[in-house]
Amino acid sequence: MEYEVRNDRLYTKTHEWAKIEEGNKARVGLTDYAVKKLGDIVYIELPEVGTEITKGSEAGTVDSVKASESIYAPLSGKVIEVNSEVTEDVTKIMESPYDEGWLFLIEISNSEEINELLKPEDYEKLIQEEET
Amino acid sequence: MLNLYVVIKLFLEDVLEVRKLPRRTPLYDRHASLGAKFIEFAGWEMPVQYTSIIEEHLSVRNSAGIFDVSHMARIIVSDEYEDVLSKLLTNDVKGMKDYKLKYNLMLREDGTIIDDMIVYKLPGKLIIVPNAGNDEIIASWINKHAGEEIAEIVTEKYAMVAIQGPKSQEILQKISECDLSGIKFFRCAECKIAGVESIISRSGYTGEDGFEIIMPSEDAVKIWNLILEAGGRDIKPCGLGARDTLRLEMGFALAGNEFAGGRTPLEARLDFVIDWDHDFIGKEALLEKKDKIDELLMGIVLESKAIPRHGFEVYKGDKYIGKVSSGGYSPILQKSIALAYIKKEEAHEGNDVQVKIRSKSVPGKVVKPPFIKK
Repeated sequence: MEYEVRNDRLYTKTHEWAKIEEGNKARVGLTDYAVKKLGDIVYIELPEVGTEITKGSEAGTVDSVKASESIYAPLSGKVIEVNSEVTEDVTKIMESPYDEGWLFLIEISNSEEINELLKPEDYEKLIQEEET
Repeated sequence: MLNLYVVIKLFLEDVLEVRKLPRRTPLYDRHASLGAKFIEFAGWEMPVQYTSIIEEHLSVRNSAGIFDVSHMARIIVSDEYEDVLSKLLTNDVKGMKDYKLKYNLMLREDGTIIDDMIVYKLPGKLIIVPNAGNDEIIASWINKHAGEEIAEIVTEKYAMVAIQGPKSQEILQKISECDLSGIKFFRCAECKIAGVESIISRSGYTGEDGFEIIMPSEDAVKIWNLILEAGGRDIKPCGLGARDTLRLEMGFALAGNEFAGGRTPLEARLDFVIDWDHDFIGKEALLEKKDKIDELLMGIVLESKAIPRHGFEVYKGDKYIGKVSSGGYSPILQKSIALAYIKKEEAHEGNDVQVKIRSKSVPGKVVKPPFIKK
């Protein structure tokens, strides 16, 4: 099974991606691996705009027919935008987990945490290990 | 010498903790080659989905799907022991006509359900199909009450597949050597499929028209392939994921969920499976409990797609009124649904209730299953 891993972003062990953007921001989403493992995603709960989240804590949940999983914050910060396209149509996450299916945008509060995220090669290794 | 061998064997088994590997049906390789994702269910490694659970579900509702149900237990008892079985089952099997099926329950002395099963009557014998993983439990229960070994477990000897959906008959007829239109609902026939002796019943767990086929294990792959070929684009292989969403939409019980913790058929609203005109284990307890039912199994349709799971609590405002036994998503209603045991006084249709999903209180309405019209 082939899972897409983009080289323009960083990853968590819990299968979220974080794309660092100008102005000390990070866009967050679920990886292709996470989405494929979940299967039929029918519902998502995302943090509200203005919420302060801490790295590693639960920021939301995603329900698929098979299972309900937590979405963990890759970095600490304040939620400044939530993807309304996804809340209106959850299937966007499955169609395009790295582009249109992004979940929320945060203002990073501690840029040192960026170093703790996994590089694309390390994330690739992680999913290969999980598959065996 | 013999004792020493036993001691060493037990010691080694203890130390090495010999882990029992999950069982595989004769169709395992077929599932793998069709790209199935597997899970362990009742000690069996089964396909949960091939493509998407929702797609597979819709294929059954709109056209047809094929399921490997070989993991279900299969037990044969000679019909000379009809009297023994009659005392163990709520739906009397004594005098059953040949080629008839009956949905049935086996109860404990206290009236709680051990398992639900389908009983087939064939010339000279009865075939009992309880839930996967319950082969030994049910066979032992039967033998214990017979006082001798009368139950033969044939789960490995025979395989079982189900074809379900409006196009089932059209597809299966292409390869069956008997007239399927002659098999009425909950009846069966001994019929050849491409020369293979099979038992075909018009039955299933989806609410759609369809058939379940019992065949020798060595012919399972052949029949599976022939059905897929005969169905072409009109049929999809379907896994346990779709099997669960389909039965849930119909409000059918899944023993591991709906009978967990000890439930009587009265609470589970399975009164129709009880033949009060004969003696059976658990009858006295049921008669005693008849007017004292505290909770009833009802359906809930939620106003959200957040999925309720087994054990989630149900409230009416601040009042705790019950628990979810099965929860899931309905691809037809495009809403989340649940089966729940609800306090009798709140167990009426149209009642507004709330299901606690994680920290949120999700509103829903009580309904009497099925959730969809069939």
